[in-house]
Amino acid sequence: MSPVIEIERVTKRYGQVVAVSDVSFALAPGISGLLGPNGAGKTTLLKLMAGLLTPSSGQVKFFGQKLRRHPQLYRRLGYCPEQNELYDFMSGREFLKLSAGLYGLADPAQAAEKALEQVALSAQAGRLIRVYSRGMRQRLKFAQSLLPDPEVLLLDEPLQGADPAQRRMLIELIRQLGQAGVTIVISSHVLYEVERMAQQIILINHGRLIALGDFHAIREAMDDRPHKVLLEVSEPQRLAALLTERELVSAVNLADEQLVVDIGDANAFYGALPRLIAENGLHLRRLSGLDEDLESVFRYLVH
Amino acid sequence: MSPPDERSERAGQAQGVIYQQGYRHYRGRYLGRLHAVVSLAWADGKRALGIGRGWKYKLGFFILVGILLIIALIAFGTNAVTERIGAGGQSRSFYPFANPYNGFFDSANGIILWLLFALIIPDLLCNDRRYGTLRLYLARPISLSDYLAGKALAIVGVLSAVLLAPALLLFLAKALGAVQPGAYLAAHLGDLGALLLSGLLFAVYYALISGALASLTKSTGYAAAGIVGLLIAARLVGSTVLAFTHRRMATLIDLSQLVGQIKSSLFGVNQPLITLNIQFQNGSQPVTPVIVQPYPVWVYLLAALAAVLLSALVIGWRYRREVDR
Amino acid sequence: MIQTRDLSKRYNGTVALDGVSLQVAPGSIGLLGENGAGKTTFIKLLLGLLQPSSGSARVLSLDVARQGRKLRRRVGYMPEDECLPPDISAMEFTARMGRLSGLPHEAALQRANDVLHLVGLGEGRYRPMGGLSSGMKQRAKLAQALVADPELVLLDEPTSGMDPSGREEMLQLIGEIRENLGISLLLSSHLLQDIERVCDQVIILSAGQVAAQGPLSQLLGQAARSVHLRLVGDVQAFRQALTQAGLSVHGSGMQLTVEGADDQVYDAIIEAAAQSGVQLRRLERASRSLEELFLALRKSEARR
Repeated sequence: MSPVIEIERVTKRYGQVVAVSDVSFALAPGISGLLGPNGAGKTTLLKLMAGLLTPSSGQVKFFGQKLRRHPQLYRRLGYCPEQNELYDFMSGREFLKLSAGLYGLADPAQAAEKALEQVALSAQAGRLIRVYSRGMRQRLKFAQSLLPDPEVLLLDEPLQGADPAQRRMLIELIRQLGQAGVTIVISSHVLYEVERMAQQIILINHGRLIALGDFHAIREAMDDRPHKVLLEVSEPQRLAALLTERELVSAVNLADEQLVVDIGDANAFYGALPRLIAENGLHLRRLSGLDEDLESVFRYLVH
Repeated sequence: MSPPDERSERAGQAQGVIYQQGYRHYRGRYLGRLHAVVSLAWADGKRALGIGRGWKYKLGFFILVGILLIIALIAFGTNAVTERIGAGGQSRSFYPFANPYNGFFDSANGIILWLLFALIIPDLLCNDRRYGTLRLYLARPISLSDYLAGKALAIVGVLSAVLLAPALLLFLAKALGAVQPGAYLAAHLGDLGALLLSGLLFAVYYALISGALASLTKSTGYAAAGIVGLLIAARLVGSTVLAFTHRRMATLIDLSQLVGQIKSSLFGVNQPLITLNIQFQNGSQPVTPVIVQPYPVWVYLLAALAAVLLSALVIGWRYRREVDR
Repeated sequence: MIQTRDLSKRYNGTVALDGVSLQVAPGSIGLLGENGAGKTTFIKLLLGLLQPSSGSARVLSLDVARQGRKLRRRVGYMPEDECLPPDISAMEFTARMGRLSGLPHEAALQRANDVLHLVGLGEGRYRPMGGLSSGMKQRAKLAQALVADPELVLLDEPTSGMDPSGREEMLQLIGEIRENLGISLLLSSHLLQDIERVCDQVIILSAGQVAAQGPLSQLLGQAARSVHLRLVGDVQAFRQALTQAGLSVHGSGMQLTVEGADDQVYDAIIEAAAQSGVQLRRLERASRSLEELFLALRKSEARR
């Protein structure tokens, strides 16, 4: 499948400040989480992808074409910015109709209604934006990015200010869109929420691309970081001895009924473990990687 | 660190102590709300005086204070000339500079003073609301009135000090320059009292009016423009109406006249209003000065009181609303 | 520590809080609710900043309606919104806040110094706060809440806008406040995992009423109903082996959920993995998460 978005050696400078530094990658349909600490260049990168900024050097391509040269591509693109400034004097519905008109959609009113429905904002759409809560503003911005039925959706911190129920709803919506073949890039600080939406991550720091791909694979590629695995098992001492004997673990830590081991070669360890347990008549009750989650991957790579 | 223990040194044993590193709870006493009000006023007072502020604020503040000092100097000089040529003699109670302190306050009662209020008051009142700091202040063991009292203390303190410093310097110069300083002091104790009262009166009166305007907006710029704008407009309208009608009710329009007249009567100076005789229907008539007698002082006292009360009500209403949100 | 009886607050016409009665012991308490559920109103009432329309509340045995000032000396507050003046240093500001809470001049400076170091703002403490990063600002906000050594701190969305490492550090700090400093805390957040991490009790508000309240462990319950798995390798064969063993499996790809959580289920899983040669990367009892609880409450609310 040919990539939807191609970033080729893109650098963005503001005077002396280098916000994005020689970044290249390509994205296929699906959901990617754009991660990085504050000031890493996430927003700049999203704006570059949305064609709101031109790169200082390098190029951004959509469907193999340059966005700036082919304005009609903008209609296949939705962008949800981070700022909360909206036209306070309009109602949510008016704002969406206006945006739909600006997109050049054939039936702005219908597009607006559909987007409102998607973010569950139809009931409050007639009220002025001025009285909207943070969560409602957030959803309105999101609705705005959905207007053109986009093939590419760029979302900058779309969940900020939303309450748990709204977060759940938005996450579901994003997942559905991703499954429907939309190419989605979503930046967020809340990693376990990203984990629920995207396996693929784009990690940047200091304007540079640090890691790209499935985060489990990224975790496995970090050879210098032994995995810490917690096991709850019927005879922890015995299992510890068995694992040490076979050189499957580099360190063992026993506390209460729990066994925490450091493993070097994940494939060897996990490959041997089920048989080892079954054959020795042990009973496993829990097996958790302590640093396998996105949170740990982020910590290891950014610090 | 205590000196090394002798015995342990003899035993060849060095000593070391590791103290607890963790969080220390506060075991001291907590002071009451008066302390809170005073410390709030102290911090804001320092801020108003430009201590620890950027050069722009300092420059603005010191230029304005410098001009007030120059006004005091001019009042000193004018008064000295007046006394030499004897102009004060027959119209002692007529001419403002016959009393140098009255002259000083009279000349200071204008744009420079208003600019000073516009510089200080919005800065102390608007920023707390603009940056949301007010809600932190109110989450402290103080009430809204304590907060406002602290602000008032800082504002009136600084502004009356700024007004009184030149006036007191002037008094000192007159006293030291007199043949017998002691006698001058004794003879002018009334002036000293009037001077202190005038400084305080100006500070409180303008602070409340400025405070009311500042409480209407979060922007220091709008508030400052509002303060200077309102006072200038009041003066312009007042003097224009006076020039056309020659009626003393015009003096009630000019907000600065209210305190001006009270101040004059504190110094025992009857200060009539001099305006020009402008009449369109008779263009050939030469323009001549016209003298309008003001109301008795209690009228101005009442009017000033009304302005002050109205301002206080506005401040109270705006801040109540801020808290309830 | 916090007791309320029939606590209600109405703003001309709209009901923000409607008959809240609860009792909370010292500890770390999570405050949850949808936007507009009345959390901010609740916090303001607890601080004595708003007068209840009806009902009463006591915090640290003090009546919020009548002893607000006394109460606020012993309670720290970290608001959600911006509240720091940009042209003042954190040191000066924190000390000033300490003085307003009754600390004498010197003690306020010393306490400000201590708490700023505690929250990790030691280095930037003399810089004007306008120049601090958003994470540093959050720390400064926390420092001012702690400066007068309160017995309880109310934290409104303390991690909002922070990046992952900043949030991690903030949560650690909040955990320490409870454990090492012995200060109770009430924490409101939209991030349920944050609350699960640092809180031992929760209050869930919904449309101005208490939807649930109590120790987290009790609310979530210990009973597990299924097992979560993550696998690498030939999942198809593994799945078949489990189904043949009579277990019901659902999920797709590398993440599966197996119904039931008794010993036979675990052993069957290991057996199936050993046979099929699949790598078992994770095996965890699925306990009810706070999110599930929250959403379940919301549904029952909607049905009412």
